[in-house]
Amino acid sequence: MFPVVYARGDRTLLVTTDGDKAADIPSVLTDIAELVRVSDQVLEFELRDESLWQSAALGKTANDVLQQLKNVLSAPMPHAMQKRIWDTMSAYGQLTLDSAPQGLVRVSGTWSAAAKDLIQKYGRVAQWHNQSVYIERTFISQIKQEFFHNNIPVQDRTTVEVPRSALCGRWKAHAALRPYQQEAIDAFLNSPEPGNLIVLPCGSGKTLVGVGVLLSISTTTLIVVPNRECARQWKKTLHDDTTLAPETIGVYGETKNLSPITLVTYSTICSKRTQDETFRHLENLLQKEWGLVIYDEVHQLPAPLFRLAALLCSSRRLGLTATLVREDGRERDVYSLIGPKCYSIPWRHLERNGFLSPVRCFEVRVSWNRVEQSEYEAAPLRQKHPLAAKNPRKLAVLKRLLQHFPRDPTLILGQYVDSLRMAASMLGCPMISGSTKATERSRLYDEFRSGNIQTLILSRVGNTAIDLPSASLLVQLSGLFSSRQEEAQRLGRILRPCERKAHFFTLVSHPSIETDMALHRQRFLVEQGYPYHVLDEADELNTVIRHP
Amino acid sequence: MRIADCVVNADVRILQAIARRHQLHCPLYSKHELIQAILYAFQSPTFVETKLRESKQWEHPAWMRIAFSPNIKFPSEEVYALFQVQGFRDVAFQEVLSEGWIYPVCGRFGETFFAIPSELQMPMRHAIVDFLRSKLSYREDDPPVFHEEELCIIRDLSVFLAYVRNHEVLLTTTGSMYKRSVLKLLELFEIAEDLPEETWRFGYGRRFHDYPDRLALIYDFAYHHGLIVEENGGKLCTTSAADAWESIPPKERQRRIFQFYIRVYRRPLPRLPLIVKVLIDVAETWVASDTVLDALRPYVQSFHYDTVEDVWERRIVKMLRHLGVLRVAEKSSNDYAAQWFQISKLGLQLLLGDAALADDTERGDRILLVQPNFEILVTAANHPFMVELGRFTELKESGSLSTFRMTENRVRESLEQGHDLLRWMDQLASFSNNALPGNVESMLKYWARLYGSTATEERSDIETSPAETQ
Repeated sequence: MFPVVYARGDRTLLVTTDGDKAADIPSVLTDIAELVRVSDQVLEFELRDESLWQSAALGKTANDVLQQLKNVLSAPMPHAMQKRIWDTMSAYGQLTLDSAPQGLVRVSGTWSAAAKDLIQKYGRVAQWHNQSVYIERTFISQIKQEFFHNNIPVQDRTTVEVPRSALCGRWKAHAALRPYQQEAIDAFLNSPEPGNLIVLPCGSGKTLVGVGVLLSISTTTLIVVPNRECARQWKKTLHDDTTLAPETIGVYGETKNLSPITLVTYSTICSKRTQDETFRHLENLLQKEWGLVIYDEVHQLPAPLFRLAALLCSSRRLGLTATLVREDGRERDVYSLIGPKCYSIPWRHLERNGFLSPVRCFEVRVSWNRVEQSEYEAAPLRQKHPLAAKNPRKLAVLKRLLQHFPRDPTLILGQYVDSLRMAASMLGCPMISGSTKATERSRLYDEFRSGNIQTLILSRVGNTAIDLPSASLLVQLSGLFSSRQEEAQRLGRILRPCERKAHFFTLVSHPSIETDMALHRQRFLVEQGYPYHVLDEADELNTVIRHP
Repeated sequence: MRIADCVVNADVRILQAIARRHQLHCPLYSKHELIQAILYAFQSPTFVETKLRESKQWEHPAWMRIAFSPNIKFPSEEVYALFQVQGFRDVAFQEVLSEGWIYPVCGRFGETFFAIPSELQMPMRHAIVDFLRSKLSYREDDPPVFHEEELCIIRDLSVFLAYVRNHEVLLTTTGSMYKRSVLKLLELFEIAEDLPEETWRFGYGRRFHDYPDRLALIYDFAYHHGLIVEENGGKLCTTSAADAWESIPPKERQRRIFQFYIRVYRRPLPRLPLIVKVLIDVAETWVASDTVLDALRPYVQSFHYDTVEDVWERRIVKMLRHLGVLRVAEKSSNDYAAQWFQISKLGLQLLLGDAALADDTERGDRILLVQPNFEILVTAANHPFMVELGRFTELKESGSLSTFRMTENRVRESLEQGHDLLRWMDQLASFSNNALPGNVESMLKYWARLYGSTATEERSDIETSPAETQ
């Protein structure tokens, strides 16, 4: 079946295929829309203003896009969608930013009343020269942000002076980039904009792409990462895979000095001693001139860090992320402060080429003992969740489950520490919770990686970007089931390439509030294109798992 | 009636006038010679075309009425009125007759008619169209942004019927749906419409005063075709005709609703059928709407609060757009100073009553895709199963690919009303392009046990089964 494309409303494009999901998707779709859901025979794309602007930035006109899209649609395009594409793309580039002498930036073009108001308010404009104004560079970020929020997509054509530094490093001989990683690096280097986003799935080697860009541009670099574990991971990659001198790399926080390549965590930047204090680390960081700023997991970038991003507008900027979807909906801030997307590749595409291991998802319904069930039924609503999560029969099911995967490196995740502790003592395996010391954590992670520990239990701290390359079995004892990001993170844990087929199990007390909550998760995973099976605990796991 | 019949029966003075007018070389005193000469001349296509092209009369609205009428015989009073009301004097009418396009003929009871010879009506239509076209502005290329609603209106009619079928839709004491239902419907419809402003609204259908234009047309159509009934208790219900409706080929349904529009709107706008007919000929390519209005102004009449422009824009162009007849490019959506429109392919089929109206879309029985996220995508606009589909699903989005969602509440409600979920699942599977996803199947079965009529027995099964297997 040739893919059939349907348009719906003003933002949704649906493609029905007969299975080969990445086959023959018309390129116009991926140019102007984001793939948001993949499910049985259907791909759903969402039209994004940001992507339309991006297309316009690459020189396409609204008419081109409309014609191309109309040619692939199976029915007339809804008027609302045509109008949106027309209006959004025509708006792009009506105003442009260009570098001007004396560190100023010239804003020029066709001014709407709204645009004039904004520039007066945020750019402190003293004088108009015909249709253009000159503003100081420091105001740019805020102006761009305000413009984007008001649907005035300005075109940033400013050039960035990258300070040349004495960094000399290259890849070590053993380091090899995968084709898509090299493509991503090239896309960034060739982009006309000073900042860009690269969208790659969890576990596809975003760090290597970041390092590749760093080596190519070779300048003072600030790398902003979500947590210390992540910082450690970056440092390790820089040490192991490149010839950069170790003294040029530092983690801010461990030392107060700013190295040519400095790693810093979100929480360090955001920390304050008192409520009223300004972000002191932020000011320290800004004392150095950074040629390149890399934001890791940019979809998680906390809002206070947008300020940092705003102040670092005169550097080249690279955002790395697995998804453009932010739970807080501030995608546009990311676009205005960092830049448009210059490269992305879908999860399933990598999976098909063997760069990611295929994952199968199972929901196992665990029944109740009579005592706990009556306790659960009698409990008030707010108590129901912990009771369902701690259903003791889950431990028995867990034990049986693990017997089916005797050799798989296994992670067990959960929401409630006491039930995790019980699991740990039952299975005799180590556990990491919030109270575990950082050194101990690192040691356990290392041992897990090296294979000395086969099974590791993680409480909520597991939900962060840590590289655990060898896990192929993930069991979720209980979860909040609330955030899509959380799910993506958990899956990211086992998505890393490995020779085994990966499995993701969720244990759900049934019947209980968990069954209903699991529906959300089920939907998200299914939408991301994972096969999802619901099992009863009584099912013969062996036959189901090996031969679905 | 052919020209030979007209000429033979005509008065000799008229024949003389025609011969003089067209400078036919023949003796004026012999009726036989006159007839011969006139027939000889008018049977030559070149002569007819030349004379039609030279005539300066096409601006006169009466000619358009005659040329575009489905009849060729008109009562004399009507024809006098056509020419007189518009300011022609009797003398002028003699001139009209001397052109040789219409002839007085005798009715069965001795009354007088005027007839246009059947072989002249079509050439005259072409001549008038050419004349009109010369006054219109055209563009060759498609505008980038335009409305093309195609079969949207019948899809939305199905949405309306499904809504009435599956929900309790109560009526106010005046017989209209409550605002909540109206808003919900408007939200589900593929084509957005706002609630009408609080103004006088009448003349365009039975419930036109209660609902926005398009919904009013959909509602009145459903009512007049017996698809819905307003029950005495103040409740709106669908009938068995509504179920059968979904089996009719889509374009046939579209044709019926289009004809219904003409029937309802011609009451306030008597020249509507004529206008629509003229549009076929003048709007094959994109044409500027205001130039068409200027050309057709004699036929577009104001109606109470609607000015001529209102009638043109809102009652004709907009409604024809909703009916899939016109593709319309709004001036606000493009960089244009004017509204443009063009007859769509579907419009031509509807207006010409084409044989092509027989369903040309391929219709397999595999019309669904059941998604593991509990959504069902439907690719066909018409299928008898659509009625059943609504029993256990909620419409989430309508369109060329409509989406229904199975929700726990909806399934529970339907089970409680005694519908058979397991049988429905079998049907679903038989119309689906893919196998039912395992998670959906097991969840539906679970709901069937939980909420079905035999829920209590089954529920004890669920409790005991794990223990048994342990």
